[in-house]
Amino acid sequence: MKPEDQLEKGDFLEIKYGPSILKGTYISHEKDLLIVKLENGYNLSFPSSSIEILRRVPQKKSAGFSENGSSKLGEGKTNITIITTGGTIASRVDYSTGAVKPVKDLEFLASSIPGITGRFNLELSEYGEILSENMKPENWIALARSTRDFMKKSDGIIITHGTDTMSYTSSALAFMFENQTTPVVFVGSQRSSDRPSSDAFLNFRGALEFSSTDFGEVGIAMHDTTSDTGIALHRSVRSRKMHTSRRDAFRTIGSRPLGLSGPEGTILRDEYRKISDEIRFSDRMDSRVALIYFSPTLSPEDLENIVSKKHAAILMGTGLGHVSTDLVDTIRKTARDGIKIMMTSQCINGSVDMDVYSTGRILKDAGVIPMGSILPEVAYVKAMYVLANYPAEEFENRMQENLRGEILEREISSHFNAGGF
Amino acid sequence: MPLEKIRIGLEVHMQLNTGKLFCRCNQNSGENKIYFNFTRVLRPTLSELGKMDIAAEYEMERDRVFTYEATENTCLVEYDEEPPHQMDEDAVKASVIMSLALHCNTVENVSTMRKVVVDGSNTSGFQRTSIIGFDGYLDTSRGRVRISTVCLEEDSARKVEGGQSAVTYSLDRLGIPLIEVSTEPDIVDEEHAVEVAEKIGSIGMLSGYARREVDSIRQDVNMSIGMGRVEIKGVQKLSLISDFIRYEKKRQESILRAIETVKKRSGGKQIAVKFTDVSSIFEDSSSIIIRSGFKAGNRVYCSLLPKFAGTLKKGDLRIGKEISDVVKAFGLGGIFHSDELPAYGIEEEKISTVYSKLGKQQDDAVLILSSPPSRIGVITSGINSRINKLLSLDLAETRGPRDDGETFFLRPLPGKDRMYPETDIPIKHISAETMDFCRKNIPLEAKELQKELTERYGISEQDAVVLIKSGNMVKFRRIADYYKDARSVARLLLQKIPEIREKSGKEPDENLIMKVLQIAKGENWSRFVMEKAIEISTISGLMGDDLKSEIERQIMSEDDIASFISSGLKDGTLTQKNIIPYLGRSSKKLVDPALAISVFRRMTDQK
Repeated sequence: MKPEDQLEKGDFLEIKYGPSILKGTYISHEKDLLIVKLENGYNLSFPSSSIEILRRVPQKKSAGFSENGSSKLGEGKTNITIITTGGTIASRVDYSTGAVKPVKDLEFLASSIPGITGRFNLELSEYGEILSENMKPENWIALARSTRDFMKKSDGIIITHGTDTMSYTSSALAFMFENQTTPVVFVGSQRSSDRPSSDAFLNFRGALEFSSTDFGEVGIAMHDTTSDTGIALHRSVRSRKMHTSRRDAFRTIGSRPLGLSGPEGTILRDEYRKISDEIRFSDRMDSRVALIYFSPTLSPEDLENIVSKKHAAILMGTGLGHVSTDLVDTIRKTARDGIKIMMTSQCINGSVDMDVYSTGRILKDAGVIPMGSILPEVAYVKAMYVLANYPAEEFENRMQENLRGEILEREISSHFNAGGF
Repeated sequence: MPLEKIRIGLEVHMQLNTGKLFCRCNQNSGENKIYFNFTRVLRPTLSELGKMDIAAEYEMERDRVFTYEATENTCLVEYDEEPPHQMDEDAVKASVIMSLALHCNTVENVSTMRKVVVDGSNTSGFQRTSIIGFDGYLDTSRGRVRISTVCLEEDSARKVEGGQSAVTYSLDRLGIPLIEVSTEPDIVDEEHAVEVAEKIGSIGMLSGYARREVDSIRQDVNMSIGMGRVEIKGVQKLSLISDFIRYEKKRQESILRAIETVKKRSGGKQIAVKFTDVSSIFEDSSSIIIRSGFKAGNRVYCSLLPKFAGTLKKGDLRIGKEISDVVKAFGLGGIFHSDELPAYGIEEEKISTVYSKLGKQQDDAVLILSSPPSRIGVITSGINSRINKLLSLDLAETRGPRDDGETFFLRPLPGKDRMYPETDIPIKHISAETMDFCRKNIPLEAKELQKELTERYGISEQDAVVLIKSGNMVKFRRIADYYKDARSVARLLLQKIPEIREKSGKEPDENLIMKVLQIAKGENWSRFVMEKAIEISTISGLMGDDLKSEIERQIMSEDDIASFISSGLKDGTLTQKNIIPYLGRSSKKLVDPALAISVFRRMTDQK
């Protein structure tokens, strides 16, 4: 039996490596490397074959973190439910092993946010631990149902979510709630919450402020800039993650964020739907929709294969909404078979307009429905909602109707997606 | 109480002259332009006990805002907006070489850790650090000094402005690789400490990878004479190391004597201060310090310090300074005490009034200070903590160095380093080839290294010495191995490039140099032309064909030289003495002196 087969995390080890004798804590194995934490805190990794274990003292399994903490906090007037899907507001680190664990106890918020217990009454509900890239429509629906249930007894809902697909999930909820009685604010973090520099905490604080206003839509709260000065509220159906790693990765496309929360207070500007007296909710989504990114070698056969078992397809075309003309016949045939084909743009910014160039006109003629300023991923989610909730003959009209603010009627910014310094 | 024999340990931090450790930014910030600023707040992570590290708590003021300056040589990695990139290969090699040179057991797999730091000097809230070697030694004139570890880590951001609630850092230094060499406390006295520091620094310099700017080497000195470990942080000048150790020894011994005096009087009872507001007594004082304090909104407070008379400032007893260090850390200018008063323009009768109010006895001391009312609570706790530490002869703490050779209290010693794995970076395996390269490049002794350079490259001994000392040796080898004309390369690095920097503020990087030299080789340029090309390319950015054209435009060709010489000789205006100015005047172009002279000689010989 290999020595490492008997080792358990936390075991005290004395090992010989070359001429040195080292003492430390066994951490783990990675491929054929044995990882040990020395007394000075550093980890060392050795090929198992190059060391000799002189002594091993198994450690009693310590109680570890009390996993059961208080999932409630505060006696304030505003009741906020926090639904977690895996992203954490805070983490704890066990420095003796280096393990990072999520904090499920809300107590730490009391000392971190002055006045919180007097203003709010918080409750934590765990939806589960799902990496956001693994979220599927059935998860969106389950999350939406849970949100609806909590909405009946709360003043605001905060949902923690991985940032990768946060726009998809939050857009799905936006469509499923035709009317809502509380704000629903999604929040995540770009830097994990075990780091002192994590954006998690301030994002959450912003979400708390937004979720206690009269904002009656589904939104996303994330950093507005790289500085820790303001948290933006984005309308989810106009939001997109535009950078792989920056704190301010989320942008409202084509416009400025709906709201801003910072040291000077919380404001909601521009128009937004206010909370309503009743909940109007549908949990029906038809997931047989495809999102297709056009590329020069996308062939008619490729397109046929992708849409064959679908009810709808969103094309991400180039520029004002174009694909190569060799796809027109397949598109025409597909549309005639009853599959809805819609056009959005790889440019992300700007509106699709298929009346300007001949290719656009030909595609329209073949049955393609232009999606105007609707973002591709949002069109994809919207199509699932419209297919499941409206009769087929209303599909085109509903898709082109501004149901939740997903259509930008006027674009007025002087610059967009500003990079630079 | 018998004091122990002094034990001294060193931690030497050396910057490397390679690129930054976790991104591909340059370590030099050129003209030091600032592109923009941003602000952050750092939150200490909860530890397993929900408690915070003592030092972290001391450093951290909950609403402390950090401002960062993003300079030319920084990127998203320094802004903590992007995960770290792979480690700089040269930095890894340099640290392995250092580790081998110090006879350490050197790792083949490098695990990077995060060491939590919340004073704002790292945007991520931690410093990335890895062990490269351990269990080594250094032989010195006073015996063997054990090396506990050699680590490779990133340097922190540089403080630009500091305050109570807001600090500004420049990110230019953040990410520069540092090698940290830690010794065991085997150093026997202050001269020995200087010898060890010198030897370690010298290995770095001889390896060719040590950065040679003014603040590139910092030493932390750890010492104890039996009353706890004191860490003196950030000593730059080697010569000051012995000054600090001597000062510390004296300071600690005098504290011991002072405390023994106090204990004899007090019988070992606990002593604490409690401040009373006596502003009414000083309202009409003519002391400038008191008056400006009132103007700023301060009140005047006093407290008895029982049994401490004659220990605050008398002979070499200086407990007063210990107390004043604490109040300075809390933002006050200083403190008045009875061993010094009357002084500072404070009226004797007011002092007497205070003494009788407090019931001061002969053995007692009195403290008087001017403070904002909001801070007196925290200052009282601070002074009491300090007094209790002194009374229990626990002098362990972190102290800062001053230019005059004295030290001052900085902060409590940190608790155990809070470290956990840097999971964004996979464990790095050092290949057999790299290990081999490093073994072959363990630095020779200085004399041998000079000999090797002069023999191998045919450069002068003086050039060899300067190349080593200025940190240009490794760059020189790489370029000279390619270009072959080593003397010209040495001249380029040691004279021409500093001239260009002086003139234009810009400096060519190795990439630019190699590109120009490649052209120079192809075009068979003389040294004169090659140097001119480097200058033009550095200042204007021209390269390739554009550079060649510019050279043609600025420098006289051989044919042109020949034809001008020919006409000059014909009409007698050209002599052997005025060749260069003559040619320059005639064509308004730059003249390669060596070429001009050789053409002239050729032509006049022919004649």
